[in-house]
Amino acid sequence: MMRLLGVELRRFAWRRSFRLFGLIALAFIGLAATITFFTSHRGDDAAASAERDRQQMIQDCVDSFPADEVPPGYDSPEDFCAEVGAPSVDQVDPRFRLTTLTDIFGGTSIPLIILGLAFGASFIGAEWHHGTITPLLTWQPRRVQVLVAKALAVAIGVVIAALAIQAILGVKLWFVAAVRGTTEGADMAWLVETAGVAARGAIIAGLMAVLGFAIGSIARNTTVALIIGFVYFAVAEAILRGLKPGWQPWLIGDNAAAFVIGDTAEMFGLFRSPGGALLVVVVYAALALALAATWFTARDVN
Amino acid sequence: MNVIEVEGLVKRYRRLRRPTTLAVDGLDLSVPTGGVFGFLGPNGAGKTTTIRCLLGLVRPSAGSCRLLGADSGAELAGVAGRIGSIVEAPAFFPGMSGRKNLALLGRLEGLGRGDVTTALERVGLGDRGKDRVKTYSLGMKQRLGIAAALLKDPEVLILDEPANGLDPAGIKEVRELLRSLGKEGRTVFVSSHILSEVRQMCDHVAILARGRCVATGSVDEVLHRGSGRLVIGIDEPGAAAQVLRSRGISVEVDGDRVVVDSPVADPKDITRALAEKGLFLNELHREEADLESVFLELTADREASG
Repeated sequence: MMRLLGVELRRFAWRRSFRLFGLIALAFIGLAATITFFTSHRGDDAAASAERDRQQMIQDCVDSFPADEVPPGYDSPEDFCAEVGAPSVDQVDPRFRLTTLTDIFGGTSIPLIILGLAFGASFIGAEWHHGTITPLLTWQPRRVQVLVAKALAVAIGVVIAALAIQAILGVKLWFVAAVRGTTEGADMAWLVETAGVAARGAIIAGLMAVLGFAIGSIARNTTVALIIGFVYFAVAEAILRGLKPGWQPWLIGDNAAAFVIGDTAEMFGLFRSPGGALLVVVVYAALALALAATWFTARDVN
Repeated sequence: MNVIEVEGLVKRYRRLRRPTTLAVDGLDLSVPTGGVFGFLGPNGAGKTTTIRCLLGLVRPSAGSCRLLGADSGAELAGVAGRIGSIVEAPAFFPGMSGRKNLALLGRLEGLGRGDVTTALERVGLGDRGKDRVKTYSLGMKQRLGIAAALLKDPEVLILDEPANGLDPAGIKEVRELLRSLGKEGRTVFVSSHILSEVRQMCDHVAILARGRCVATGSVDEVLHRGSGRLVIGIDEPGAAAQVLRSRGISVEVDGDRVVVDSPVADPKDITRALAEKGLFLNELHREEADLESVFLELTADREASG
């Protein structure tokens, strides 16, 4: 099994689409870092000026309130205006703040998760397309082992790739923040939280790769698998969310998003922890893989 | 000991909105150890389906297949390392080099770069191994397929139309390679529709028609199943034909020759009958049956009865 897994990992790494994607990702990261570098304005004067403008906006907001009126949920008009009536410090600060990396990782998780699904589907879809599953099974006739090794390989490959991309992005933006922005607030607690978002995004991308792989294995076709994935996540879940709000805690997309954010309370109340959300996605991926393995074992390979 | 044992193999394909196809219809086949065994049949006779059943890729509807004593359905994993195969057109990842494709397969059995190099050189692809498979010609892909089959240094080779796409020089090379493998004591089971190749290459042969084996045995044995018509050279062919027909022997006049259609006709009876009527032969020989005519005769019989 380990030998089979090693072969599949190697094949994943040797895939041209994977390498092409890596190059494109590196190019995008370079472009994003360059743009950030040139749009970030360092200097206490710029920051102080932006803060002054912000304070003025808060004051204008406070002045617009009647003398004894306090917005519900707030202690004073000042509190309300600092939160709602003016942009946040991050938004007005002309310097690139390293602390925004947490949100950036949350954002980059979405394309990584979609790519994970696509890589999973195409990893097995390409085998059926090129007919290479036939010679493989003449070398290793244990079909369940073959399928599980492939699923594990694609999951491991996607997790490592996602982590690598997030790490490269993080290092580049750290450099930009250190040279042209600010690392203010980037303490150990922040680092742990940010690394957690990146890791959780990578884990979900890996699980989505398993789901994509399972659908691709049943369909024996990459395109069909991607269409099924798109229809489910973009259409079916949206409809279910609207028609059956009570089902939301059982939708794959919602649990995946909740786990990546690390705050399930906002989406599900106290109903489910981040670990519970992960478990839901893991169970769906495992069920899909079990179904794919059963299907793969039962059907002829022509 | 037989390397391949097929008993009562039946394979039906059920397809939506289409009639069920009977690809293999109660096939019995035994392939002895060592040598080259030809598996002949017209297109659609069930050769590839039989090979897929043997390799566990397709589940038989009935019957059983055993390879090296192991059941193809459940026990194949135990002997897979001793079997090399090509099923239909060899399949590879086109974006990877030939060498990488073989390396991936080889790693499944713990084989290294040296084994890959040896296999590539054996099929004449030593200098093209680093090129991507998508740049290969059909013949080169076929050679790569044979290299993949040889990579494990297998005891048994199961090759489905290995000469497909090869030029005449390539066909000759493959023929010599397979013959040499057979002489080494390996069992080479090769399906083909190129009859001259099978005759030159194989020790044993089985002929398949409509999913059934219509003849099997050594090449000579199968050839003797052919008509083997008697050809008579005589000065008065018309008179000779009349004499033989009067004795109930079916004949045809072909120029200055008389051809006796009946394979059971005894040359002694013919010479005696003609001599009694004062007709003397210039020539009498049995026409040598070629594999092509035997093949066509046997498969046509099966088509007609099917």
